[in-house]
Amino acid sequence: MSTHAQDADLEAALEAAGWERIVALPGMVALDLIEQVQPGPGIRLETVGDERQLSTLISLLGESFGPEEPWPGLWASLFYDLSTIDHPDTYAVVAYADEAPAAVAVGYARQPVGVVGMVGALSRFSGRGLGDLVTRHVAAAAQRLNDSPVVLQSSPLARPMYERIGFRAVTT
Amino acid sequence: MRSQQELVELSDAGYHALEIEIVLRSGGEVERSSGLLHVAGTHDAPFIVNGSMRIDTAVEPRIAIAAARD
Repeated sequence: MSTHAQDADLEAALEAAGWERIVALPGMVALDLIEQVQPGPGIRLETVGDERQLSTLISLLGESFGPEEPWPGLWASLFYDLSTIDHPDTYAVVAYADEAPAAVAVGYARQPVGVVGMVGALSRFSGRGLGDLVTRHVAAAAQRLNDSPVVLQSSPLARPMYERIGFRAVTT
Repeated sequence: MRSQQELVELSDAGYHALEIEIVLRSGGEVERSSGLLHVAGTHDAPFIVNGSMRIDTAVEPRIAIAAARD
């Protein structure tokens, strides 16, 4: 069960019923236009548009969310073919560092609000601004299409990066 | 200038939209009923693709929990 900021009574009832919180992901909102940045040296972006790129996206999500993937096959089931991202409102990009796949993000331009869905970056490429780059790319694309704010759910680790980009936490 | 309440509602709306999109596009099912949103994906992971959310805070917690268990 997912709860939100207005669910204090529901959270209390869940706890009383023996449910445990497994993760808290702050909701973050960017109201102002997100500035895009140019890729640094040795880095390039590819929009996901064919099977090879889709396979790369799935591998990156699996690897970036943990070496011991707790739910094998989850990402492959979500993105089982190109129809899952082949929509005018969907943006999926892969960042390559020195020609190696290194980071990924998927964004959805929706009304009343766009959404950055999944962001993953491999730790061995940390410090090169890849998570920042792919997040800015899909978030800005979602904003442009619908002239709308954009939101995401952040992990605690990634929150400072999203704040630098222009998101601010509105839930805990 | 948006109020804090409006920002929270935007955040929740985005989360719900994301759940609906990824579950439907990957072959799962979405059901809205009695102030609750239920998503059931094709994978058995207990997050992202399977879950229940209360979208109307008037729904009593015990009813929301019982519906989620179903």
